[in-house]
Amino acid sequence: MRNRIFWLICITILLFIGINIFLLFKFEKEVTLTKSVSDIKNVATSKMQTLHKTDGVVAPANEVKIFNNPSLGTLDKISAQEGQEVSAGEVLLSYSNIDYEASRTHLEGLIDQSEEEVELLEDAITELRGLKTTIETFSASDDEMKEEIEQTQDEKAARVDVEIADKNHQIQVVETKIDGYETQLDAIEEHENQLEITSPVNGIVKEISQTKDGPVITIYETPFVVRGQLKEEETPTVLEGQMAYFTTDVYGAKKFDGLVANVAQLPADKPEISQKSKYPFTITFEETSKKLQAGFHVDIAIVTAENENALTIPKKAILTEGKKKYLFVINTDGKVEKRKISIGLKENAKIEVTKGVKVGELVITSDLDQLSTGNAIVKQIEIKNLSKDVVSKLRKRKIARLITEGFLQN
Amino acid sequence: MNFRFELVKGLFKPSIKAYQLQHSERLKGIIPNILILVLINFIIALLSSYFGFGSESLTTKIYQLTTTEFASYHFWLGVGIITGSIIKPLLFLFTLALIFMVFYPEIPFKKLLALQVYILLIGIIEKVLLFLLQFFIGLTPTTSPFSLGVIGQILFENSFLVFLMAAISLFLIWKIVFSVIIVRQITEQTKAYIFSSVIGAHLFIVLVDAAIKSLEVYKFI
Repeated sequence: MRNRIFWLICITILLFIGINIFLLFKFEKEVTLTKSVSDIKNVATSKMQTLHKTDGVVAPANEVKIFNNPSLGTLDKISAQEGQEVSAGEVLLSYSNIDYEASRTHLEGLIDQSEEEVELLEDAITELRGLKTTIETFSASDDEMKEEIEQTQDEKAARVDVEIADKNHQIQVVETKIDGYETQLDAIEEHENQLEITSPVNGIVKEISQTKDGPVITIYETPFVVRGQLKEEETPTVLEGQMAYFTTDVYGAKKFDGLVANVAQLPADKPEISQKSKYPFTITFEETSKKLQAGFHVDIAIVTAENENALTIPKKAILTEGKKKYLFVINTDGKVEKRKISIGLKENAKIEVTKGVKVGELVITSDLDQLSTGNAIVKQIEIKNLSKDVVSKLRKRKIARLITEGFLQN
Repeated sequence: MNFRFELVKGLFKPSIKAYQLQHSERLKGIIPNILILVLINFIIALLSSYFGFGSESLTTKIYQLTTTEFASYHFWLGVGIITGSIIKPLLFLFTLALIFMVFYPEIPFKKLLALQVYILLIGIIEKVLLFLLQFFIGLTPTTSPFSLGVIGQILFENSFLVFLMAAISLFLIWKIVFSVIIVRQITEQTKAYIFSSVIGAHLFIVLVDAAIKSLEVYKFI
């Protein structure tokens, strides 16, 4: 008898509990469950950047090779040394050309000769002028023959004039010849100037090597750049004009600023099915206080996307269900709402939310799988947020209220 | 003979304890037992306030308060809960014993108090189970599967009625049944008298409790 009663009681109890549980599931909407969460953060705005990390090396912008040009003559002098910094236009190789020298000497000789000729002619003219003066100042002593003598003197003077004119004419001819020689001389000097090979760029002489055809000067063009390579799949995101930062082990944590100057359209090697294509890119940078030498290996971060005022939340606030992403937002009535969101940029532990929340809204960042819309939320006490002054600064009345509220609970 | 408390054994074999209670002159160890129960209540309350159970009203203010303000409000709420966890059991203990004294003046107060210790134990068991439910599932005392609270929430909007329904639980029935068994052994009164007095006493407590909760008395401060 007692056994029967005992079992009857057990079954009734279980039935009671069972009905309650059934009702809890059926009337989910009317019944509010309370969930305790430990971590709540608010939606903030901050600058977000998507960084593409890769590595690279400091290299010259260009490698320029200067070759010997024997057609210019014989190599006179190599004015550069390995390791030397050179600027565009600076002379590297100078030549001397015997032909030109011979021509020049010859012409200079001709000019000297001609100038002497001119001098002689001018001396002659001076003499003739003197003669003329003598003729013109001659006065006859004998009056009977005066007219005859004066006529003869005039004829003599006239003849002198003709000679002077002739001499002047000759001077002109010689001077024209001199002009001609000087023009030729200028031409030769111009050619002689071309008997120099200058550096086409600013840079550093890397190497001067001797080959059978003469010296070859290799110049690393400055300023240096950073060279790297992108994988195929990275090419749509890394674009010319993007900002980049890089660091090198040589200078530890110091960050250098740069700009993506060029992304190659063509891969470094011939496209092959069997191997992955790599696309070279260059990053230019401003002159830096610390010297970045060719060959330094660097770690690069390229800013492929940026948003100055992105709405951000911690990564752990997001619940992913298949393709959809959700946030658990606390409403002003203390209950949680599961909201669908769209995300944007990602950076370390922060993610940008492009749709679904507003600045300042509070989202839950822990125990997300326990929550569903409509749950009342309670927060675990965070000891670290307690500060002695705030705790005691609350108005006495408020404190009394809170204590009473707590006291009267279950 | 001496009455030894043996809480757990007594709980499941009330008739034996009833007999012992009836025939003993001295009650050994009443205070330590009370203290242990209050201690357990205290620990549960400590854990509850750590997890924020019972601070739902505070969450509604989360957008108006700064982090430190929120934390201090939480703190003082916790102080209230923890103080309550010590004072309330003692209050119930003595109040119920006093009420019973009104109905059963022939029973020595000490014995009535002893009865209430077991009733308190039943209450503590309920508290522990509710804490675990809240911790793992999120059910609150008003949505406990052990009481009529779920039905109450579905049927009624009125908070007093909901609290009332939530208080009518399996554990309350257990308390009543236990009390009846014990009292029946000790006293000469009729079954009807015993039933109505026991049920009445507990109902009175439940009503007052529900009234205080639904009136949100603290708001009047």
